[in-house]
Amino acid sequence: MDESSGIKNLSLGFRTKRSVVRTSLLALGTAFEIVSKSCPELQAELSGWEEGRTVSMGVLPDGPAMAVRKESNHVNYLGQGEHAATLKFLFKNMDSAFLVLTGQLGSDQSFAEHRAIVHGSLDQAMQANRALAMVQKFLMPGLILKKTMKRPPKLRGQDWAVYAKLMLTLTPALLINWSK
Amino acid sequence: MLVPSYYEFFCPVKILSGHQALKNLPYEMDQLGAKRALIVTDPGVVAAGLIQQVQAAFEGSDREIGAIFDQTPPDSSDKVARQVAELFKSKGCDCLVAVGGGSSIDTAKGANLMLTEGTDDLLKFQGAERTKKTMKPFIVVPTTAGTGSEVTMAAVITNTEKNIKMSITSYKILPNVAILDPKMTLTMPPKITAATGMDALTHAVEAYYCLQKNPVSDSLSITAIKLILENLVKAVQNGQDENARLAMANAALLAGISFSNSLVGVVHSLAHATGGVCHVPHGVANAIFLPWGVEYNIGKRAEMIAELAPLFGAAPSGNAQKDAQAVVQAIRDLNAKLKSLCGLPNTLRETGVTEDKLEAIAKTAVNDGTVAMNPEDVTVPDALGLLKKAF
Repeated sequence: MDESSGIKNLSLGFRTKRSVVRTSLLALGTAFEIVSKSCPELQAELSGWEEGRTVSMGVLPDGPAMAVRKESNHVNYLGQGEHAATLKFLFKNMDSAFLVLTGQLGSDQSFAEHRAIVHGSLDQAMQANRALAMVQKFLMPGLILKKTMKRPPKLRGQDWAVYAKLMLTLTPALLINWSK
Repeated sequence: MLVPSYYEFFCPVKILSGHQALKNLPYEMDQLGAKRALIVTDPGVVAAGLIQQVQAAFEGSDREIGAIFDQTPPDSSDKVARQVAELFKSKGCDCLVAVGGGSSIDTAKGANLMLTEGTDDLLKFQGAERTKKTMKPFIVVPTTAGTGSEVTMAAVITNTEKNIKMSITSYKILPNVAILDPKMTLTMPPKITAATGMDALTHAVEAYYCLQKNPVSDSLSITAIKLILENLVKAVQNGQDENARLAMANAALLAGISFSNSLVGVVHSLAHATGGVCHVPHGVANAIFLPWGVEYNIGKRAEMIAELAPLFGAAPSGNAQKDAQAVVQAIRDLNAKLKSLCGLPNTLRETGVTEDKLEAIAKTAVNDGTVAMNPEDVTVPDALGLLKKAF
Protein backbone atom coordinates (compact mmCIF):
# COMPACT_ATOMS: atom_id res chain seq x y z
CA MET A 1 0.00 0.00 0.00
CA ASP A 2 1.18 3.47 -0.83
CA GLU A 3 2.20 5.30 2.37
CA SER A 4 -0.05 8.21 1.58
CA SER A 5 -3.03 6.12 0.58
CA GLY A 6 -4.40 6.31 4.10
CA ILE A 7 -4.76 10.03 3.67
CA LYS A 8 -5.60 10.34 -0.02
CA ASN A 9 -7.92 7.39 -0.52
CA LEU A 10 -10.49 8.04 2.16
CA SER A 11 -12.96 5.24 2.70
CA LEU A 12 -16.67 5.78 2.24
CA GLY A 13 -17.10 5.18 5.98
CA PHE A 14 -14.63 7.92 6.87
CA ARG A 15 -16.14 10.36 4.40
CA THR A 16 -19.61 9.65 5.77
CA LYS A 17 -18.45 10.26 9.32
CA ARG A 18 -16.70 13.45 8.25
CA SER A 19 -19.90 14.71 6.62
CA VAL A 20 -21.94 13.88 9.72
CA VAL A 21 -19.39 15.62 11.95
CA ARG A 22 -19.29 18.70 9.71
CA THR A 23 -23.09 18.93 9.65
CA SER A 24 -23.34 18.34 13.40
CA LEU A 25 -20.83 21.10 14.11
CA LEU A 26 -22.77 23.43 11.84
CA ALA A 27 -26.01 22.54 13.64
CA LEU A 28 -24.41 22.95 17.07
CA GLY A 29 -22.91 26.35 16.23
CA THR A 30 -26.11 27.58 14.64
CA ALA A 31 -28.28 26.33 17.51
CA PHE A 32 -25.87 27.89 20.01
CA GLU A 33 -26.46 31.30 18.40
CA ILE A 34 -30.26 30.89 18.26
CA VAL A 35 -30.62 29.59 21.82
CA SER A 36 -28.23 32.22 23.20
CA LYS A 37 -30.53 34.95 21.89
CA SER A 38 -33.63 33.65 23.68
CA CYS A 39 -32.69 31.45 26.65
CA PRO A 40 -32.31 33.38 29.94
CA GLU A 41 -30.43 30.50 31.56
CA LEU A 42 -27.82 30.48 28.78
CA GLN A 43 -27.64 34.27 28.79
CA ALA A 44 -26.90 34.19 32.52
CA GLU A 45 -24.06 31.76 31.84
CA LEU A 46 -22.74 33.91 28.99
CA SER A 47 -22.79 37.02 31.16
CA GLY A 48 -19.60 35.70 32.75
CA TRP A 49 -17.80 35.58 29.38
CA GLU A 50 -15.72 38.55 28.33
CA GLU A 51 -16.72 40.31 25.10
CA GLY A 52 -15.12 38.73 22.04
CA ARG A 53 -14.35 35.36 23.64
CA THR A 54 -14.11 32.93 20.76
CA VAL A 55 -14.68 29.22 21.27
CA SER A 56 -13.96 26.71 18.56
CA MET A 57 -14.56 23.00 18.23
CA GLY A 58 -12.84 20.84 15.67
CA VAL A 59 -11.21 17.59 14.70
CA LEU A 60 -7.44 17.05 14.57
CA PRO A 61 -5.35 17.24 12.48
CA ASP A 62 -7.29 19.23 9.91
CA GLY A 63 -10.86 17.98 10.06
CA PRO A 64 -14.12 19.93 10.25
CA ALA A 65 -14.28 22.80 12.74
CA MET A 66 -16.55 25.64 13.74
CA ALA A 67 -16.37 28.66 16.02
CA VAL A 68 -18.66 31.00 17.93
CA ARG A 69 -17.89 34.40 19.43
CA LYS A 70 -19.49 36.17 22.40
CA GLU A 71 -20.99 39.49 21.34
CA SER A 72 -23.34 41.50 23.60
CA ASN A 73 -25.21 38.91 25.63
CA HIS A 74 -25.24 36.13 23.08
CA VAL A 75 -22.89 34.25 20.76
CA ASN A 76 -22.57 34.58 17.01
CA TYR A 77 -21.76 31.62 14.82
CA LEU A 78 -18.58 32.52 12.92
CA GLY A 79 -18.58 29.68 10.45
CA GLN A 80 -16.69 26.53 9.62
CA GLY A 81 -12.95 25.99 9.44
CA GLU A 82 -10.06 27.45 11.44
CA HIS A 83 -10.62 30.58 13.55
CA ALA A 84 -8.33 32.35 15.99
CA ALA A 85 -9.94 31.16 19.21
CA THR A 86 -9.52 31.92 22.90
CA LEU A 87 -10.51 28.37 23.70
CA LYS A 88 -10.38 25.26 21.52
CA PHE A 89 -12.09 21.90 21.99
CA LEU A 90 -10.19 19.43 19.84
CA PHE A 91 -11.14 15.85 19.06
CA LYS A 92 -8.10 13.66 18.44
CA ASN A 93 -9.72 11.87 15.49
CA MET A 94 -12.88 11.69 13.39
CA ASP A 95 -14.31 8.66 15.19
CA SER A 96 -14.14 10.39 18.57
CA ALA A 97 -15.88 13.47 17.18
CA PHE A 98 -18.50 11.24 15.56
CA LEU A 99 -19.21 9.44 18.85
CA VAL A 100 -19.73 12.69 20.75
CA LEU A 101 -21.58 14.68 18.11
CA THR A 102 -24.02 11.86 17.38
CA GLY A 103 -24.86 11.50 21.06
CA GLN A 104 -23.20 8.14 21.62
CA LEU A 105 -20.70 9.54 24.15
CA GLY A 106 -21.01 12.40 26.63
CA SER A 107 -18.63 15.30 26.50
CA ASP A 108 -17.25 14.70 30.04
CA GLN A 109 -16.68 11.05 29.23
CA SER A 110 -14.90 11.98 25.99
CA PHE A 111 -12.41 14.05 28.00
CA ALA A 112 -12.12 11.25 30.55
CA GLU A 113 -11.22 8.88 27.74
CA HIS A 114 -8.69 11.34 26.28
CA ARG A 115 -10.68 11.47 23.05
CA ALA A 116 -10.74 15.25 23.21
CA ILE A 117 -8.42 17.89 24.63
CA VAL A 118 -8.68 21.55 25.54
CA HIS A 119 -6.32 24.28 24.38
CA GLY A 120 -6.80 27.27 26.67
CA SER A 121 -8.10 28.00 30.15
CA LEU A 122 -9.78 25.09 31.94
CA ASP A 123 -12.06 27.56 33.78
CA GLN A 124 -13.28 28.83 30.43
CA ALA A 125 -13.61 25.26 29.18
CA MET A 126 -15.93 24.44 32.08
CA GLN A 127 -18.02 27.53 31.34
CA ALA A 128 -18.24 26.62 27.65
CA ASN A 129 -19.08 23.01 28.51
CA ARG A 130 -22.01 24.16 30.65
CA ALA A 131 -23.21 26.50 27.90
CA LEU A 132 -23.01 23.74 25.29
CA ALA A 133 -24.97 21.42 27.61
CA MET A 134 -27.73 24.05 27.77
CA VAL A 135 -27.85 24.13 23.96
CA GLN A 136 -27.93 20.35 23.74
CA LYS A 137 -30.95 20.35 26.04
CA PHE A 138 -32.94 21.86 23.15
CA LEU A 139 -31.17 20.06 20.34
CA MET A 140 -30.94 16.45 21.48
CA PRO A 141 -33.76 13.99 22.25
CA GLY A 142 -34.30 13.03 25.88
CA LEU A 143 -33.06 9.48 25.31
CA ILE A 144 -29.67 10.75 24.15
CA LEU A 145 -29.44 13.29 26.98
CA LYS A 146 -30.13 10.49 29.44
CA LYS A 147 -27.20 8.55 28.02
CA THR A 148 -24.70 11.39 27.68
CA MET A 149 -25.36 13.67 30.64
CA LYS A 150 -24.78 13.04 34.34
CA ARG A 151 -28.06 14.71 35.23
CA PRO A 152 -30.23 14.86 32.10
CA PRO A 153 -32.03 18.21 31.82
CA LYS A 154 -35.76 18.51 31.10
CA LEU A 155 -37.59 21.28 29.29
CA ARG A 156 -39.63 23.36 31.76
CA GLY A 157 -41.75 26.52 31.63
CA GLN A 158 -40.27 29.11 29.28
CA ASP A 159 -37.86 26.50 27.86
CA TRP A 160 -40.71 25.49 25.56
CA ALA A 161 -40.77 28.94 23.95
CA VAL A 162 -37.02 28.70 23.34
CA TYR A 163 -37.50 25.21 21.93
CA ALA A 164 -40.29 26.37 19.60
CA LYS A 165 -38.17 29.24 18.33
CA LEU A 166 -35.24 26.90 17.71
CA MET A 167 -37.40 24.44 15.78
CA LEU A 168 -38.88 27.20 13.66
CA THR A 169 -35.64 28.96 12.82
CA LEU A 170 -32.99 26.24 12.80
CA THR A 171 -33.52 24.96 9.26
CA PRO A 172 -33.46 28.39 7.54
CA ALA A 173 -30.48 29.39 9.70
CA LEU A 174 -28.64 26.21 8.70
CA LEU A 175 -29.22 27.03 5.04
CA ILE A 176 -27.83 30.53 5.56
CA ASN A 177 -24.86 29.27 7.58
CA TRP A 178 -24.08 26.39 5.22
CA SER A 179 -21.77 28.53 3.12
CA LYS A 180 -20.10 30.31 6.06
CA MET B 1 -14.24 -4.27 39.02
CA LEU B 2 -14.80 -2.03 36.06
CA VAL B 3 -12.68 -2.25 32.93
CA PRO B 4 -13.52 0.87 30.94
CA SER B 5 -14.28 0.60 27.25
CA TYR B 6 -11.23 2.78 26.65
CA TYR B 7 -8.47 4.31 28.75
CA GLU B 8 -4.94 5.67 28.50
CA PHE B 9 -2.16 5.50 31.07
CA PHE B 10 1.27 7.11 31.14
CA CYS B 11 4.09 7.36 33.66
CA PRO B 12 7.69 7.32 32.45
CA VAL B 13 9.23 8.61 35.71
CA LYS B 14 12.14 6.57 37.11
CA ILE B 15 11.53 6.03 40.82
CA LEU B 16 14.27 5.75 43.44
CA SER B 17 12.84 4.92 46.83
CA GLY B 18 14.59 4.13 50.07
CA HIS B 19 17.06 5.04 52.74
CA GLN B 20 20.01 6.99 51.26
CA ALA B 21 18.25 7.19 47.88
CA LEU B 22 19.33 10.83 47.66
CA LYS B 23 22.97 9.75 47.36
CA ASN B 24 22.16 8.56 43.84
CA LEU B 25 21.28 12.06 42.65
CA PRO B 26 24.65 12.74 40.91
CA TYR B 27 24.54 9.30 39.27
CA GLU B 28 21.06 9.98 37.92
CA MET B 29 22.25 13.34 36.58
CA ASP B 30 25.05 11.49 34.82
CA GLN B 31 22.55 9.06 33.31
CA LEU B 32 20.60 12.01 31.97
CA GLY B 33 23.75 13.55 30.50
CA ALA B 34 23.67 16.48 32.93
CA LYS B 35 26.60 18.02 34.76
CA ARG B 36 25.41 21.15 36.52
CA ALA B 37 22.17 21.30 38.50
CA LEU B 38 19.99 24.22 39.43
CA ILE B 39 18.29 23.41 42.73
CA VAL B 40 14.76 24.85 43.01
CA THR B 41 13.52 25.00 46.57
CA ASP B 42 11.84 27.19 49.20
CA PRO B 43 12.89 28.98 52.40
CA GLY B 44 11.25 26.34 54.61
CA VAL B 45 13.28 23.53 53.08
CA VAL B 46 16.47 25.57 53.55
CA ALA B 47 15.58 26.35 57.17
CA ALA B 48 15.00 22.65 57.84
CA GLY B 49 18.58 21.95 56.71
CA LEU B 50 17.47 19.73 53.84
CA ILE B 51 19.55 21.48 51.20
CA GLN B 52 22.68 20.49 53.11
CA GLN B 53 21.64 16.88 52.59
CA VAL B 54 21.37 17.52 48.87
CA GLN B 55 24.78 19.21 48.83
CA ALA B 56 26.26 16.31 50.76
CA ALA B 57 25.03 13.91 48.09
CA PHE B 58 27.40 15.57 45.59
CA GLU B 59 30.48 14.80 47.69
CA GLY B 60 33.05 12.88 45.63
CA SER B 61 31.06 13.34 42.45
CA ASP B 62 32.07 15.06 39.23
CA ARG B 63 28.54 16.52 38.95
CA GLU B 64 27.93 19.85 40.63
CA ILE B 65 25.33 22.32 41.87
CA GLY B 66 25.44 25.38 39.62
CA ALA B 67 23.05 27.47 41.71
CA ILE B 68 20.32 27.26 44.34
CA PHE B 69 17.05 29.13 43.91
CA ASP B 70 15.53 29.13 47.40
CA GLN B 71 12.78 31.74 47.12
CA THR B 72 9.86 29.69 45.82
CA PRO B 73 6.67 31.05 47.43
CA PRO B 74 3.78 28.81 48.63
CA ASP B 75 1.96 29.41 45.30
CA SER B 76 4.18 29.19 42.23
CA SER B 77 3.88 31.94 39.64
CA ASP B 78 5.13 32.67 36.14
CA LYS B 79 7.23 35.49 37.63
CA VAL B 80 9.10 33.06 39.87
CA ALA B 81 9.42 30.48 37.07
CA ARG B 82 10.95 33.24 34.92
CA GLN B 83 13.52 34.00 37.66
CA VAL B 84 14.39 30.33 37.85
CA ALA B 85 14.80 30.10 34.06
CA GLU B 86 17.04 33.18 34.03
CA LEU B 87 19.20 31.83 36.85
CA PHE B 88 19.45 28.50 35.01
CA LYS B 89 20.80 30.25 31.93
CA SER B 90 23.09 32.73 33.70
CA LYS B 91 24.74 30.00 35.79
CA GLY B 92 25.22 27.64 32.85
CA CYS B 93 23.08 24.87 34.35
CA ASP B 94 21.87 21.91 32.31
CA CYS B 95 19.52 20.18 34.76
CA LEU B 96 16.72 21.14 37.15
CA VAL B 97 16.43 19.54 40.58
CA ALA B 98 13.29 20.49 42.52
CA VAL B 99 13.60 19.92 46.27
CA GLY B 100 10.35 20.64 48.08
CA GLY B 101 6.59 20.34 47.88
CA GLY B 102 4.14 21.03 45.09
CA SER B 103 5.06 24.67 44.68
CA SER B 104 8.79 24.11 44.09
CA ILE B 105 8.04 21.22 41.76
CA ASP B 106 5.46 23.17 39.74
CA THR B 107 7.81 26.17 39.57
CA ALA B 108 10.52 23.92 38.15
CA LYS B 109 8.03 22.46 35.65
CA GLY B 110 7.11 25.98 34.52
CA ALA B 111 10.75 27.06 34.28
CA ASN B 112 11.61 23.93 32.30
CA LEU B 113 8.82 24.69 29.85
CA MET B 114 10.09 28.26 29.44
CA LEU B 115 13.67 27.10 28.90
CA THR B 116 12.71 24.38 26.43
CA GLU B 117 10.27 26.47 24.44
CA GLY B 118 12.47 29.60 24.57
CA THR B 119 9.66 31.76 25.95
CA ASP B 120 8.74 33.55 29.14
CA ASP B 121 5.01 33.38 28.45
CA LEU B 122 3.27 30.30 29.83
CA LEU B 123 -0.23 31.50 28.95
CA LYS B 124 -0.09 29.87 25.53
CA PHE B 125 0.55 26.48 27.13
CA GLN B 126 -2.70 26.46 29.13
CA GLY B 127 -4.73 23.34 28.53
CA ALA B 128 -3.55 19.92 27.45
CA GLU B 129 -0.64 18.68 25.37
CA ARG B 130 0.52 22.00 23.93
CA THR B 131 4.22 21.26 23.81
CA LYS B 132 5.88 18.51 21.84
CA LYS B 133 9.49 19.28 22.77
CA THR B 134 11.65 17.17 25.06
CA MET B 135 12.39 19.10 28.24
CA LYS B 136 15.70 19.66 30.06
CA PRO B 137 16.72 16.89 32.47
CA PHE B 138 14.51 17.19 35.55
CA ILE B 139 14.82 15.41 38.89
CA VAL B 140 12.47 15.81 41.84
CA VAL B 141 13.16 15.22 45.52
CA PRO B 142 9.86 15.64 47.42
CA THR B 143 10.03 16.93 50.99
CA THR B 144 6.33 16.36 51.67
CA ALA B 145 4.29 13.21 51.18
CA GLY B 146 1.06 14.33 49.61
CA THR B 147 0.94 16.25 46.35
CA GLY B 148 2.43 13.52 44.17
CA SER B 149 3.70 16.31 41.90
CA GLU B 150 6.86 14.29 41.32
CA VAL B 151 4.84 11.99 39.08
CA THR B 152 2.02 14.17 37.75
CA MET B 153 1.79 15.66 34.28
CA ALA B 154 0.18 18.87 35.50
CA ALA B 155 1.42 22.19 36.82
CA VAL B 156 -0.66 24.98 38.30
CA ILE B 157 1.08 28.33 38.00
CA THR B 158 -0.32 31.79 38.70
CA ASN B 159 -0.18 34.33 35.92
CA THR B 160 0.74 37.44 37.89
CA GLU B 161 -0.27 39.88 35.17
CA LYS B 162 -3.80 38.53 34.66
CA ASN B 163 -4.12 37.17 38.22
CA ILE B 164 -5.34 33.78 37.05
CA LYS B 165 -4.18 30.26 37.82
CA MET B 166 -2.94 28.59 34.66
CA SER B 167 -3.41 24.86 34.46
CA ILE B 168 -0.85 23.23 32.19
CA THR B 169 -1.07 19.54 31.40
CA SER B 170 1.51 17.78 29.26
CA TYR B 171 3.19 14.40 29.10
CA LYS B 172 6.41 16.31 28.43
CA ILE B 173 6.61 18.16 31.75
CA LEU B 174 6.86 15.00 33.84
CA PRO B 175 10.16 14.70 35.69
CA ASN B 176 12.71 12.12 34.54
CA VAL B 177 13.46 10.90 38.06
CA ALA B 178 11.70 11.03 41.44
CA ILE B 179 13.86 10.39 44.51
CA LEU B 180 12.00 9.36 47.67
CA ASP B 181 14.34 9.48 50.64
CA PRO B 182 12.67 9.32 54.07
CA LYS B 183 15.32 11.68 55.49
CA MET B 184 13.83 14.43 53.37
CA THR B 185 10.43 14.26 55.08
CA LEU B 186 11.54 13.68 58.70
CA THR B 187 11.32 17.37 59.60
CA MET B 188 7.71 17.81 58.47
CA PRO B 189 5.62 18.97 61.47
CA PRO B 190 2.73 16.68 62.54
CA LYS B 191 -0.05 18.93 61.24
CA ILE B 192 1.54 19.23 57.80
CA THR B 193 2.23 15.50 57.81
CA ALA B 194 -1.48 14.92 58.50
CA ALA B 195 -2.71 17.41 55.90
CA THR B 196 -0.40 16.18 53.13
CA GLY B 197 -1.22 12.58 54.00
CA MET B 198 -4.94 13.32 53.68
CA ASP B 199 -4.17 15.01 50.36
CA ALA B 200 -2.62 11.74 49.17
CA LEU B 201 -5.60 9.76 50.51
CA THR B 202 -7.94 12.07 48.61
CA HIS B 203 -5.98 11.50 45.39
CA ALA B 204 -6.16 7.74 45.84
CA VAL B 205 -9.85 7.60 46.79
CA GLU B 206 -11.13 10.04 44.17
CA ALA B 207 -9.03 8.39 41.46
CA TYR B 208 -10.71 5.11 42.38
CA TYR B 209 -14.26 6.23 41.55
CA CYS B 210 -13.95 9.17 39.14
CA LEU B 211 -14.67 8.98 35.42
CA GLN B 212 -11.17 8.14 34.20
CA LYS B 213 -10.64 5.21 36.56
CA ASN B 214 -8.94 2.20 35.01
CA PRO B 215 -7.36 -1.09 36.19
CA VAL B 216 -3.84 0.37 36.40
CA SER B 217 -4.83 3.42 38.42
CA ASP B 218 -7.12 1.24 40.58
CA SER B 219 -4.24 -1.00 41.63
CA LEU B 220 -2.11 2.02 42.49
CA SER B 221 -4.94 3.62 44.46
CA ILE B 222 -5.56 0.47 46.48
CA THR B 223 -1.89 0.16 47.47
CA ALA B 224 -1.70 3.86 48.27
CA ILE B 225 -4.80 3.67 50.50
CA LYS B 226 -3.38 0.64 52.35
CA LEU B 227 -0.05 2.39 52.95
CA ILE B 228 -1.73 5.58 54.15
CA LEU B 229 -4.08 3.83 56.55
CA GLU B 230 -1.19 1.81 57.98
CA ASN B 231 1.31 4.65 58.27
CA LEU B 232 -0.21 8.13 58.39
CA VAL B 233 -1.07 8.06 62.09
CA LYS B 234 2.37 6.57 62.87
CA ALA B 235 4.11 9.34 60.93
CA VAL B 236 2.04 11.99 62.72
CA GLN B 237 2.70 10.46 66.13
CA ASN B 238 6.41 9.95 65.54
CA GLY B 239 7.91 12.09 62.79
CA GLN B 240 11.27 10.36 63.19
CA ASP B 241 9.82 6.98 62.15
CA GLU B 242 11.75 6.57 58.89
CA ASN B 243 9.80 3.49 57.84
CA ALA B 244 6.46 5.28 58.22
CA ARG B 245 7.89 8.29 56.36
CA LEU B 246 9.12 6.09 53.51
CA ALA B 247 5.76 4.33 53.32
CA MET B 248 3.95 7.67 53.19
CA ALA B 249 6.32 8.95 50.47
CA ASN B 250 5.52 5.85 48.44
CA ALA B 251 1.80 6.22 49.09
CA ALA B 252 1.84 9.82 47.89
CA LEU B 253 3.76 8.80 44.78
CA LEU B 254 1.42 5.92 43.95
CA ALA B 255 -1.64 8.09 44.53
CA GLY B 256 0.03 10.76 42.36
CA ILE B 257 0.52 8.38 39.43
CA SER B 258 -3.03 7.15 39.90
CA PHE B 259 -4.74 10.54 39.90
CA SER B 260 -2.47 11.95 37.20
CA ASN B 261 -4.07 9.36 34.93
CA SER B 262 -7.55 9.04 36.48
CA LEU B 263 -7.99 12.58 37.68
CA VAL B 264 -10.04 13.63 40.68
CA GLY B 265 -13.49 15.05 41.35
CA VAL B 266 -15.61 17.31 43.48
CA VAL B 267 -13.41 17.09 46.60
CA HIS B 268 -10.64 18.73 44.63
CA SER B 269 -13.00 21.23 42.95
CA LEU B 270 -14.05 22.45 46.39
CA ALA B 271 -10.51 22.34 47.80
CA HIS B 272 -9.05 24.31 44.88
CA ALA B 273 -11.83 26.90 45.20
CA THR B 274 -11.49 27.15 48.99
CA GLY B 275 -7.75 27.61 48.56
CA GLY B 276 -8.29 30.28 45.92
CA VAL B 277 -10.95 32.25 47.80
CA CYS B 278 -9.88 31.76 51.44
CA HIS B 279 -6.27 30.47 51.22
CA VAL B 280 -7.02 27.27 53.11
CA PRO B 281 -4.09 24.86 52.56
CA HIS B 282 -4.91 22.27 49.92
CA GLY B 283 -4.35 19.20 52.12
CA VAL B 284 -6.46 20.63 54.94
CA ALA B 285 -9.31 21.43 52.55
CA ASN B 286 -9.14 17.97 50.98
CA ALA B 287 -9.29 16.34 54.41
CA ILE B 288 -12.42 18.34 55.29
CA PHE B 289 -14.21 17.71 51.98
CA LEU B 290 -13.25 14.07 51.40
CA PRO B 291 -16.03 12.41 53.43
CA TRP B 292 -18.65 14.78 52.01
CA GLY B 293 -17.40 14.31 48.44
CA VAL B 294 -17.38 10.52 48.72
CA GLU B 295 -20.87 10.56 50.23
CA TYR B 296 -22.10 12.86 47.45
CA ASN B 297 -21.07 10.28 44.85
CA ILE B 298 -22.55 7.20 46.50
CA GLY B 299 -25.67 7.51 44.36
CA LYS B 300 -23.62 6.95 41.19
CA ARG B 301 -20.65 4.96 42.50
CA ALA B 302 -21.83 2.96 45.52
CA GLU B 303 -20.31 -0.34 44.35
CA MET B 304 -16.91 1.15 43.56
CA ILE B 305 -16.72 3.00 46.86
CA ALA B 306 -17.92 -0.13 48.67
CA GLU B 307 -14.96 -2.04 47.20
CA LEU B 308 -12.74 0.15 49.39
CA ALA B 309 -14.56 -0.78 52.61
CA PRO B 310 -12.25 -3.68 53.61
CA LEU B 311 -9.22 -1.40 53.22
CA PHE B 312 -10.82 0.98 55.70
CA GLY B 313 -11.41 -1.87 58.14
CA ALA B 314 -15.11 -2.37 57.47
CA ALA B 315 -16.31 -5.93 56.94
CA PRO B 316 -18.26 -6.19 53.67
CA SER B 317 -21.98 -6.51 54.39
CA GLY B 318 -23.07 -7.33 50.85
CA ASN B 319 -24.98 -4.07 50.70
CA ALA B 320 -23.04 -1.59 48.54
CA GLN B 321 -24.77 1.50 49.94
CA LYS B 322 -24.05 0.42 53.50
CA ASP B 323 -20.41 -0.46 52.73
CA ALA B 324 -19.86 2.82 50.89
CA GLN B 325 -21.28 4.67 53.89
CA ALA B 326 -18.84 2.73 56.09
CA VAL B 327 -15.98 4.14 54.00
CA VAL B 328 -17.32 7.65 54.60
CA GLN B 329 -17.51 7.00 58.34
CA ALA B 330 -13.98 5.56 58.40
CA ILE B 331 -12.65 8.74 56.74
CA ARG B 332 -14.51 10.84 59.32
CA ASP B 333 -12.99 8.73 62.10
CA LEU B 334 -9.50 9.19 60.63
CA ASN B 335 -10.03 12.96 60.42
CA ALA B 336 -11.17 13.01 64.06
CA LYS B 337 -8.12 11.00 65.11
CA LEU B 338 -5.79 13.39 63.28
CA LYS B 339 -7.56 16.33 64.86
CA SER B 340 -6.96 14.91 68.31
CA LEU B 341 -3.31 14.14 67.51
CA CYS B 342 -2.22 17.36 65.84
CA GLY B 343 -5.16 19.76 65.50
CA LEU B 344 -5.99 19.05 61.85
CA PRO B 345 -9.20 21.03 61.22
CA ASN B 346 -12.27 18.91 60.52
CA THR B 347 -14.59 21.74 59.46
CA LEU B 348 -14.29 24.88 57.34
CA ARG B 349 -15.20 27.01 60.33
CA GLU B 350 -12.10 25.72 62.15
CA THR B 351 -9.90 26.97 59.27
CA GLY B 352 -11.21 30.51 59.64
CA VAL B 353 -13.52 30.44 56.60
CA THR B 354 -16.60 32.58 57.20
CA GLU B 355 -20.08 31.62 56.02
CA ASP B 356 -20.38 34.65 53.73
CA LYS B 357 -17.56 33.23 51.56
CA LEU B 358 -19.34 29.97 50.77
CA GLU B 359 -21.21 31.25 47.73
CA ALA B 360 -18.04 32.65 46.16
CA ILE B 361 -16.31 29.30 46.79
CA ALA B 362 -19.23 27.40 45.19
CA LYS B 363 -19.18 29.62 42.08
CA THR B 364 -15.43 29.13 41.73
CA ALA B 365 -15.65 25.37 42.32
CA VAL B 366 -17.99 24.68 39.39
CA ASN B 367 -15.43 26.20 37.02
CA ASP B 368 -12.71 23.84 38.20
CA GLY B 369 -11.78 21.25 35.57
CA THR B 370 -12.06 18.42 38.10
CA VAL B 371 -15.86 18.87 38.18
CA ALA B 372 -16.00 17.29 34.72
CA MET B 373 -14.39 14.10 36.04
CA ASN B 374 -16.75 13.74 39.00
CA PRO B 375 -19.33 10.97 38.50
CA GLU B 376 -22.23 13.07 39.85
CA ASP B 377 -23.06 16.43 38.29
CA VAL B 378 -22.05 19.47 40.35
CA THR B 379 -23.97 22.75 40.04
CA VAL B 380 -23.56 25.89 42.15
CA PRO B 381 -26.44 24.85 44.50
CA ASP B 382 -24.88 21.37 44.82
CA ALA B 383 -21.46 22.82 45.67
CA LEU B 384 -23.05 25.24 48.13
CA GLY B 385 -24.88 22.36 49.81
CA LEU B 386 -21.61 20.48 50.27
CA LEU B 387 -19.86 23.58 51.59
CA LYS B 388 -22.60 24.16 54.15
CA LYS B 389 -22.28 20.58 55.35
CA ALA B 390 -18.51 20.93 55.63
CA PHE B 391 -18.81 24.29 57.37
